[in-house]
Amino acid sequence: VFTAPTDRFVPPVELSDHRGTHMALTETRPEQAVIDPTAERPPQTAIERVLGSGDHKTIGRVFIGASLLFLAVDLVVAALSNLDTATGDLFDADLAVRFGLNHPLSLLFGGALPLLLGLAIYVVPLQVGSPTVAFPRAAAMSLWGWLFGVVLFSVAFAADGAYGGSDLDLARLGHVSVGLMAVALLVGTMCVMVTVVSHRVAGMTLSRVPFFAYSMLVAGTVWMLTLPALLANLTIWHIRHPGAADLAGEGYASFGWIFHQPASFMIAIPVLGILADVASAASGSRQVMYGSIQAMIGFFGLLSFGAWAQVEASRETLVWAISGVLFAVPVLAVLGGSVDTLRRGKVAVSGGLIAAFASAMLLLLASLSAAVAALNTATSTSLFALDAGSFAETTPGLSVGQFYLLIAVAATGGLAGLFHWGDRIVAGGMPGGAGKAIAPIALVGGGLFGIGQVVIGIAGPDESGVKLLGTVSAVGAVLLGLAALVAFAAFVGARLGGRGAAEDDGPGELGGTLEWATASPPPAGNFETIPGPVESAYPLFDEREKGAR
Amino acid sequence: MSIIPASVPAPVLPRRRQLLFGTMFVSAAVAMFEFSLVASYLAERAGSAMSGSPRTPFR
Repeated sequence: VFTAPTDRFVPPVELSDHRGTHMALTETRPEQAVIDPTAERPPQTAIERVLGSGDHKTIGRVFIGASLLFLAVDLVVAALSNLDTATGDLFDADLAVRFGLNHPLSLLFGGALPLLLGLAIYVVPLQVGSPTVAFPRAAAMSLWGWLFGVVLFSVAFAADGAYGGSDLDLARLGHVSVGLMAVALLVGTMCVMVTVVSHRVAGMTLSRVPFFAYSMLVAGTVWMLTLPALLANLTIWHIRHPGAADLAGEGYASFGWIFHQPASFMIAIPVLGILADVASAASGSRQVMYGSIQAMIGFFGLLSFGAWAQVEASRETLVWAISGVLFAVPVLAVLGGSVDTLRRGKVAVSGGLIAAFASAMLLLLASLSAAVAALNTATSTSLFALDAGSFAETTPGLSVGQFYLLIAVAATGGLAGLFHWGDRIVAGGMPGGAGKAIAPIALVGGGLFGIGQVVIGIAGPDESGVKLLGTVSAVGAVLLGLAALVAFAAFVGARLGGRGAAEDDGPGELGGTLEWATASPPPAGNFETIPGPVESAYPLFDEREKGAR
Repeated sequence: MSIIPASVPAPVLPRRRQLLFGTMFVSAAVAMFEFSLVASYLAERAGSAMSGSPRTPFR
């Protein structure tokens, strides 16, 4: 062993032996350095367990909790922005523009999409009978990448940056962080999609996949084909080295299509799956038109692909108008199918069930507003004196209200899923009373949030009318934010407190899909024994019926 | 501080072509991204040509 003379300094050279342990050339190998593989590792702290986890349940829980919190904050920002539009003197002009431009982005990427994705990362592996999500490390990367993006965006926004900010570096930081959030969410989406395609138990063909998992496959396909187009817009405007004003003007307008129909409807696809699954579990009965409902979810996904409609001219074409009119068809089909399922069994009313139908009602409203916008293009000139409105120009109107309605759909649908699968997600389940209280608040809040702006677009009121309706939107945003905040508190309280046995959530005993075949909360690996092979879309109902014979 | 990953459940099921499907989905997203980049460039170029601007966009 070479030993350096002690009278002069020799920088140590780092070497690595075959076990990956490091030693310096100037040191002799200590005898004690041999690692005993049988030695017990020190216990992990709670933070270490969360940070280092590749367990889809941990990742899903953090996604759900964080997105609920951000959603509540974003809705307050949206309320302030609407209040400023209504009164015109709440903020100075620059700050008003900054609020107006950034709140839809944070609602979409900080609240609505991650809430549904987090729910999917948690629930989908359970539904398809898998012990894990596909590529668990990528799913963890998705979570932390998204969280980092949200923090960067928030910092940029708060420090006079992001869109409309005057600090160029921070404006560009906000711009890049939107891209980071989108990429992170795409990675998580890919994991969920591969789970549905590759991790299903024996016998579970695609036609037997539970509705929520199936809707995530459809939604993921649409997101995978839409968000990269948004990323291309962001990239183009990043490499152009624009000034802060250009970024807030032309740069923002280049991806403004994401807030317009049909692309904006892509966030509502999983809600149809949640509704169909909740209806079946709440009534303990099968969806008899399984294939038709799946086809309708797929049709809704097809309609909501909107990367082709990026420029104003494309939103006046026949294809655009037809897609706008047709949105209501799959929504009504899934809603009707779910009501029919409820009719076939004994209904256990829960917060999840109420919220699921509330989100469907909001989606129906959004679909009707899409039909109105589509009909407006029926003649060579506009059919009605319709004011579409635009986030890019911070003007109120129909498109703005429709986007708000869709955010409310995703938020209420996410709450429905959280309360419905509550006892799968936290031991003992979410408090049933909170769910029943939150669902109507979310319905009223979400409805007011969107309808205020929709009415401004359709009726074209005078100044006092705009003031009143803008205030209505702001009140709606606050109510929806309150629902998200209460759900967050209930979620954290249930997670930390552990409520013991579930109060009154019947669906846990009634659901027919595989997520109900495991413990609450599921153990590591999700199932004691791998379920299957399954013989229908409702293997637990099959078991029950076999037992009854 | 060493962060030891929490227990990730060992794979039990055969993961049917997991890597193939993952690659397929990511490739579709990347293709869409590149297609959109080219489309944006062509739209900008057409806009420049229409306005009679002598310079190529993005320079």
